[in-house]
Amino acid sequence: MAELTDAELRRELMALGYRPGPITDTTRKVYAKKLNCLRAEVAAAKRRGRGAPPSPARPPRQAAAGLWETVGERKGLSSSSSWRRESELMPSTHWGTTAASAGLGGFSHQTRFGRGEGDLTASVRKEPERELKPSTQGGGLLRRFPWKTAGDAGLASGTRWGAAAAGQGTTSRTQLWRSAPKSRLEGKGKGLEYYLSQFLCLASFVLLMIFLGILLVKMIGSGWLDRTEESCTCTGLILLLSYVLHLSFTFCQAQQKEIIMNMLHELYNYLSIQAGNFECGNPENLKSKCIWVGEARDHVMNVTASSPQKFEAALEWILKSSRDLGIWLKGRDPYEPVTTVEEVVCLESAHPQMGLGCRFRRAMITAIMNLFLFFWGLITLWGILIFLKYRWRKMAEEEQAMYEMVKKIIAVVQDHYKEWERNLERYPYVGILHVRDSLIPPQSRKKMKRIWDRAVEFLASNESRIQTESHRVAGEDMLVWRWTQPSYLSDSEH
Amino acid sequence: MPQSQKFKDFVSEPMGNKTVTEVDGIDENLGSKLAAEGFDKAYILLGHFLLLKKDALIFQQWLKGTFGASSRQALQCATCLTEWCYTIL
Repeated sequence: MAELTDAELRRELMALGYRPGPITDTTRKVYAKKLNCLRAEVAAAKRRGRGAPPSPARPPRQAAAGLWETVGERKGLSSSSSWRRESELMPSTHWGTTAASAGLGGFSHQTRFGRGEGDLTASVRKEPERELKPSTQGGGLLRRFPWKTAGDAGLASGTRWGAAAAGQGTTSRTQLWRSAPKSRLEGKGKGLEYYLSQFLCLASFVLLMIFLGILLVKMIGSGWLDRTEESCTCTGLILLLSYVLHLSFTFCQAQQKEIIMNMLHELYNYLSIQAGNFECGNPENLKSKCIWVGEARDHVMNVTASSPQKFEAALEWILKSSRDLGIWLKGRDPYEPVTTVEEVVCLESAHPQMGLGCRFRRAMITAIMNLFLFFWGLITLWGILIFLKYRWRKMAEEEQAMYEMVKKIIAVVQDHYKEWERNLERYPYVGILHVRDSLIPPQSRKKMKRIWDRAVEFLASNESRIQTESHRVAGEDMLVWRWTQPSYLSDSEH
Repeated sequence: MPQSQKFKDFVSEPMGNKTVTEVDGIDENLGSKLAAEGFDKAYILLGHFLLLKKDALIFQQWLKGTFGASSRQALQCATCLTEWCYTIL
């Protein structure tokens, strides 16, 4: 054990799951002893059962020949195997090439501080350069070694040349092999936080998806519905039109049908576009979705170049039809159904045509409004709960204060009675207001009035030992309390 | 010499469980080198400083020789620890 260099000692300790501090002249022996202890523990654990690892952080390592090999096979990590290879081969190259100088370096490394001489630092600075070279050479050599021999070489170097040469690769190697356990430990320590943050991330993502889903359904759903309704109505319109026209107008059927169909179709489009505009920002400043008959007539006549009589006939036909055609005829009173063409004041589309942006906006507003309502409700409930809690707490406090007051009053009245028995007081009773004034300081009398009143009430109804009487004291009528329990009984309490 | 914020932060309070990189003059690079040798906490570095009998010069040489710290870094670190000892120890 004494032959191990600082770096090897550190490595062994780390391999057994222990994180040593700096290994100096003063701490070396302690850590060597610690390593022995740890190895004994590992060996004991192994004897008990091969399956169970001795420490949670690390798998057990064999102390003998298969030391390096075992860990390499178990872990299979590229980083750990790389440092191992390097460390095993480096000592042999040191030994071949620069064993003497390395030995000197090692010596200076340990003794220089005691002396504190500046000229030694030059030789120390060269160390990293020396370290780098063998390790690169070692990489090349290594591939020719089979695992077994490499392991043996590593062990031999650890025991035989350890003190002289092997320790010089400390910084470069330790950096390599430190990286693996460090990250593992951190990952373990932050497990809970990590999972929590993951969960929160997931939850917010799901919420976002739900929100988007509502939005999408609202948007596309309504659009799709609109479109199907529109097409349905259109076909229904056309079918009905053709059917009815076929029955009623036997002369110039085709022409009439076409004209009225065109007109109604145009009217439908016009109304739905106007209604859509009205819903989406209302650029034309319409007062309502309902379009005046005159405007509609003018527009339809302009587009289809037909006569007003035809328009009237079309309206008449709409009135007679029992099916929903997507056009509502409205009279002066919007809630009364219209029966004749003369009563019709305005026309309104049942299916407003809106653009994609507008639909999106409306869906968004609806979704946000729903969410807002939900939150508002939640906040209201929360507020009510907080208020109730506050109220209950207040009531409990007040009750507590009341009982305190009752106790104080009883004590005062009893004391007064005792003093009267010993002829220290003139009357066996005491005025209620006197008791109040002696118990409550003037500044808090107003605040405590409620509590006082409750206490008095409580005493009047629930306290048998105190009797409330009316007496004339100093020429003034006042309510007084008298202690009615004989003192030999009440004394037994104390 | 006006002292950096890092210096002030470190000297102003007990070092507790601070990492070695929070000592003035020790950057990430030097800090990782120190941590590789077991000096991962500031109190361990202070321990070594105390073992060297608070001798700033020897401490600087040690930092430069063992961990390749620059003269400036070594000076900053030694000053920082000296000042900390003066203030708090």
